Amino acid sequence: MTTYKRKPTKGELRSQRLEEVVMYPIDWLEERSGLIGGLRYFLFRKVPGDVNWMQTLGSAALTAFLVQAITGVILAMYYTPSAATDPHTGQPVAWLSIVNITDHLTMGWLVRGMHRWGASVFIILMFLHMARVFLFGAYKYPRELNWIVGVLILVMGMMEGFTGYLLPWDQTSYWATVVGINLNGTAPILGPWLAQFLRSGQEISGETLTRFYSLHMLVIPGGIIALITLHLYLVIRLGVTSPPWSKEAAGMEPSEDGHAPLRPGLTQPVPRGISPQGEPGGSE
Amino acid sequence: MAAVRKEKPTPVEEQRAQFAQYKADVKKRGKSFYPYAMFHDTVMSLVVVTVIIALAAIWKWTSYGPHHDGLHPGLLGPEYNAPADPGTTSFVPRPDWYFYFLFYLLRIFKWPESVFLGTIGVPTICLVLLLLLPFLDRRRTRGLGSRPVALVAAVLVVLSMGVLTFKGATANEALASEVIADVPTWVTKNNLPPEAHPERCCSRPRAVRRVTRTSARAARTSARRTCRTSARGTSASPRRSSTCRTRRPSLRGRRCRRSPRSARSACTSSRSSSKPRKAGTRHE
Repeated sequence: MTTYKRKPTKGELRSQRLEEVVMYPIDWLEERSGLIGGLRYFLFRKVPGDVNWMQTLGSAALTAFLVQAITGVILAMYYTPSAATDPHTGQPVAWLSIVNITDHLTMGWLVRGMHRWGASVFIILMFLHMARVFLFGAYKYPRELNWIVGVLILVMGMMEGFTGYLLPWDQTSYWATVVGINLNGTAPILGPWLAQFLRSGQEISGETLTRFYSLHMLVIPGGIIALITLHLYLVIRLGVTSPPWSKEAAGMEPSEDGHAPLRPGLTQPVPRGISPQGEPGGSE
Repeated sequence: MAAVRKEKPTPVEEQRAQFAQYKADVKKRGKSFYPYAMFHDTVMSLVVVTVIIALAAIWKWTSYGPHHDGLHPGLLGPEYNAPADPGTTSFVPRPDWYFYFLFYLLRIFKWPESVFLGTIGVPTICLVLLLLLPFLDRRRTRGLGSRPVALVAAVLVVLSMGVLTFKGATANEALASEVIADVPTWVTKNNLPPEAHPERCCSRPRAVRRVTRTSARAARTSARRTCRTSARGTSASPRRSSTCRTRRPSLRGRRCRRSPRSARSACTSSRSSSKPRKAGTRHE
């Protein structure tokens, strides 16, 4: 709070009061939750100075997932997961609702198209992101756990693709799912049980459709959201890696025998036997 | 330095020291996530959303056929296919593109004894290796130049995934024959009646459809299935089965299409002798 030698003018008083009004709810929230501090930490945390465009692939995949979530919610408002036959047209209700969304609903084609192609973009971006992490060796200590979480997200993303593919209930989706479930069924021990569970019976039916719908929009996305949260938490906690070829990479790159830094000009190696928590021994 | 070093540090100590060095370097020389890195992320996210919208638009505008429905295959395929119909005999199942590599694995392990490898074995091994990657590669160096094994492995994986995806995408005939090749094992495993065996199908055509379409186990419960006669591969002229239509009044039109060739190839389990057929475009 600014202290004035002279009496504050009306304008100054007004802006002072405005600041109090704006800050009050923020302070209120911060005092009770610490969320503002967390947000500030998230936004103003330091990342290495040499991060590059390849390191945006993770957030790009996150964006694709958000697109899937939003368009998926909209689609769920109009889609009917029922294989029952519509008495007027003689067609399956689920298929009719897809046709309705695509052909008649305002902008329905856009929402469905974004969901359908966003799925492919999401998968591609996850693979590219994984390739980047591999290339950078960013899965190494201490980020092993985050690599595993990422692989699980990729697997669940592909499960989303598999379950979502059936929902239009057209020929392509039906027969692809028949084959897919049969493939699952060839696994030893658990296979037949898994196939039976996915089919919800001996054959693919309306129950399979509702089961896939539930998996597709409740179970798997819930898991993905939880895993993404964990993934981001670990990214923020452990930090982003520098490109390994960078001349100013943060952290020392060990040489082949692992005892001296590969590029001694950047950072001195931490003296062995001394706590590594101290100041880095000189640089640049 | 040598005086400071009391004893050789353990690998755990070394990696901790390296990470502490990383943290110190980032703190000292890093830049703030907001706005620097976040700017890149935002630009990339906008690109992603734009690409998704563009794909949806291309899908819509190139597939909107002369009859104002989404059945017309445009650049990215039709917006929807004919409704799912368990009674068809000629539909070639195809998964979404990112499953093509799995799909093509089945052609490599095509013999009944080894199908299990293609469906579950190889993918599971790959997944486990992927999950365990940080524990398989425990060296601390991150530069690709000093990770020749990782580099070669990455190139091989990318190449094989690319080749498998391409081969899966251009495969003329989809999985039906592979699924049939798998049937003998199911027959023995599940103690099915001998009619389910594909070798006998030519004399007992009823079994063919059963086995090709759904899991062999469905054979037992499928007495109520209609349109069975349409699978008889002897007659060449497509003729709609009237029994089908009377028995399944709820389904109209397209079903009961007969595919003599696919039925025949099902009998002999041959996949190479049949002429290439464009899979996936089941648009008549």
